[in-house]
Order: sequence, then structure tokens, then C-alpha cells
Amino acid sequence: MQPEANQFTFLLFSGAFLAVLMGTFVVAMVVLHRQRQIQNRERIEKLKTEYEKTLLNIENEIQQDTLSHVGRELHDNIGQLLSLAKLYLNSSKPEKQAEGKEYLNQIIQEVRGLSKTLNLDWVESVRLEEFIGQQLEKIKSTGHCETKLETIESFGSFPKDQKLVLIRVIQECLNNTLKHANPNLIEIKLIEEQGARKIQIIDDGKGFDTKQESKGSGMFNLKKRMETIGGKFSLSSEVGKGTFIELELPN
Amino acid sequence: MIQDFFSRIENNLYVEILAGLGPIVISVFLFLSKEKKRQIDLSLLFSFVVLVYFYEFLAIYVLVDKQFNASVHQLIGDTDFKGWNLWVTNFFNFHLSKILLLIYLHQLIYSQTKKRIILVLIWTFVAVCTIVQVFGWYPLYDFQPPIYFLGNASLIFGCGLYFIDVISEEKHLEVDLIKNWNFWIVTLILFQSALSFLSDIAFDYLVFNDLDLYFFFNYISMVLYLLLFIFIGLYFFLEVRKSKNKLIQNAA
Repeated sequence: MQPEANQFTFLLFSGAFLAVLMGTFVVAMVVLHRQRQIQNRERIEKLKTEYEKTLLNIENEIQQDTLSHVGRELHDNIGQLLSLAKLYLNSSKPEKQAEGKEYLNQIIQEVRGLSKTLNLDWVESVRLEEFIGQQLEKIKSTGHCETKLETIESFGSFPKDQKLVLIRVIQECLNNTLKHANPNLIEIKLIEEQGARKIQIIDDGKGFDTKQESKGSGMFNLKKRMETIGGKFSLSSEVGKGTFIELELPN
Repeated sequence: MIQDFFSRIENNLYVEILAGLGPIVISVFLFLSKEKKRQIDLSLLFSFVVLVYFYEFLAIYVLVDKQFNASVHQLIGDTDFKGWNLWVTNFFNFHLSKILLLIYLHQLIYSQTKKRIILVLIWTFVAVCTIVQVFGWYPLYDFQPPIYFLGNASLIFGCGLYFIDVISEEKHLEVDLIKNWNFWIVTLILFQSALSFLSDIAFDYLVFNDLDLYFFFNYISMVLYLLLFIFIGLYFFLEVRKSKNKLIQNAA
């Protein structure tokens, strides 16, 4: 009887020890999991704040650009048209007055066009391909260099926020190219590779040594902006061989 | 023979409880919706329950039906038949069920690297089992300590990977761990494997020096297996209830 009682006590204590061990393990796991959950939530909050901050910055930048553009248009285009209209309307000749009225109509059209650019609603209505096409057309019309756009039909659309970031990143890339690369040709390709949509910006300009540390924060900002929308930014360049930029877009 | 079979079941409390629990768990699974039945974690757990239920009774049956046991023994070895049923436990418990549980862990993990590690563990285990059998180093009808070691060690390691995944992968962090049945089931698998590991590794020593401790390992291991059955059954039951509540809500 004695050995059986001993065996029972031994089993009881060992079982209890194992149960405590298992309980401790479970509690430790749950506590650790909760801590990681809190950390994860904080990280997501931080990312969200960063995303909102980036969007706000981009909206500000676009509005600043738009205001400069509006200022230029008012001074160089509408101001000139108004002067001409005033001149013709003050004339005693009826044909000149008619021409003055024509100018007034043109001014009205121009002002309507400008007013549309003052808010960011155009971002929603414009397709990314269209926007890129317009930008390239503008560059070409200034005579800086030749441009080329290659796109696929199934490139798809983006939510407004993502499009806003992409527009700004593309603008920034094109500005940098014009400012520093002095290219003969800027080519933009909208492609799809292994299920991922990509925008490639290629120029045949001066290029630069990517190993040398950049003085500004432009490249870092572009990379960070792409990351905030879940995309990727990559750049490769060699002195004399142009620059290749690839924007991998979120699905 | 049938009387002998049932009297052996009656003398074994673990198998008796299993005989009651097994059909309950299996029938609860059958109440699950088709969609849920196709859910890989649930179907793997169901396969595990069926497998354990099957081999526990087969192990008793081969002890009773000596003719059948001897014919299987003839197929897997050329030594004298001693009436053992070890081949059943070796093949179904130490080989198949370990692989099944490793596959279960594999599909619970989200990290691709950890998934690959589990796959390597599975293939290594399958390769080792095949090699030791083919070369006759550790035949199926005899004790196979390296396979016991590798099977349990792989499971313990796999459970460790799952727990790391639980605290590092975002998808795991989105759910409440206490309400996650898979977490409880893996915890039981871990403790059961750890105890089996200890008892199998120290088998020779424990049998001759500390039989109490050996029995302790075995008893607790059996209790954990029964708990595992209960948890799997509860998991199935709550999934059935969830589906029913959803149906009622949709109807309303």
C-alpha cells in the first residue's frame, strides 16, 4: 500500500509542477503577445501620422506650385490680355471693340481654367497616365528635351491620396532630371512585372555616382514618400550613362 | 477474440476515455459547414484525431489478432515474431502523427522563412525515417530511439517557431491570443512532445532506475493527449456554434 501511496503523491506533485510550468508559460506568452500588440498599435499609429503628415506636405507643395503658376499666368497671360482688351475697347473703331470683346471672352476662359487648378479636385479626375503625358508634353514644349511615354492599357487607377503622392514624386523626379541631368530624352514607362505595377523614369543625361553621399534630402524624401503609400523607390545611375528611376506601386 | 479485445479496452483507462471522446469529436466535426471542413487547420486536426483513434484501437487489436499481427510482422521484418504491437505505435504515432502535427504547425505560421524551416524539418524527418527503415538500422517492429528523438525534437522546435511567429507577425498580433484555439492546441502539443522527448531519451535509465518517473511521464503525456482531444473538440464545437449564429443573424 505504501509504495502505491508514494507513487500517487509523486504523480500529484509532479503533475501540479507541470501544470504550474504550463500556466507560467501561457501567462508569459499572453503578456508578451499583449506587449507586442501595444507596440504594433503604436507603430501603426506612428505610420498613420507620418502618412497624414506626408499627404499634408504634398498638398501644401502642390498648392504652392499652383499659386506660383497662377501668379505667373495672371502676370504674363491674363494681365497682357486685359491690357489688350482695355486698349481695343477704348478704341473708337467698332472692329477693334469687337476684337476687345473677343479678348474678354478669352480672359474668361483662362480664368475658368485657372480657378480649376486652385483646389486639388483635379487630382481625382485626372488619370495618372494623363498627368504624366501632360507633364512630358509641357517639358517638350519648353524645348528642353524630347520626351516619350510608354504605357499599358491595364495600368489601373489609384485612390486620391496615393495618386497625390505619386504625382508629387513624379514631378520631383522630372524636376531633378531637368535641373541636374541636362538630358536629350526623358522616357517614362508604365509597366506591369510579376503582378506589380511600376513606373520607370529613364533619362540619357549626365548621370551621377550613386555611391557618393547626397548633400540634400531629396532622394531620402522620395523614398520615404513612396514607402508611406506602401510602394518602393529605387534609383540607379552612372556618370555619363543617364539615370534610371523605378517606382514600384502598391497593389 | 472480440471479448479479449473489449476486456483489454476496459483495462486501459486512457483508451476507454479515448473511446468515448473520439466519436464525439469526430461527430462534432461532421456538423461543421462545408466551408469550415475545408479550412486546412480544422481538417488537419480532424485527421489527427481520426489517426490517434485508429491506431490506439489497432494497437489493441493486433495484440488480440496474433495471426494478422504476425502477417504484418512478416512483411516488415525477417526476425522471429514476438507478439509485439510496437510497429503500430512506431508507424502511426511516432511517424505519421508527428508529420501531421508538423504540417499543422506549418500552415499556422505566417513567416515564409519559418515555414521553409518547418518544411525542411518535415522532409528531414521523412528522409531519416525512410533511411533507417530501408537500411534496417532501426526496424519498424523494434524500438526506434533516433526517430523518437527527431520527431519530438522537430515538434518542440516547430512549436517554438510558432510561438516566435505569434509575437512577431502582424497577422497574429491582430487576434486575441486567449481566444485563439490554435495557440492552446500548440501549447499542449509542446508540453506533450517535451514529456515524450524526456521519457524516450531517458527510457533505458528510467525503466531500470526510476520506474515511477517513467510512468509519470507516460501518464501525464496521456492526460495531455486527452486534453488535446478535448480542446480540438471544443474548437470544432465553437466553430459549429459560430456558423449557426451567423446563419441566424443572416436570416434575421
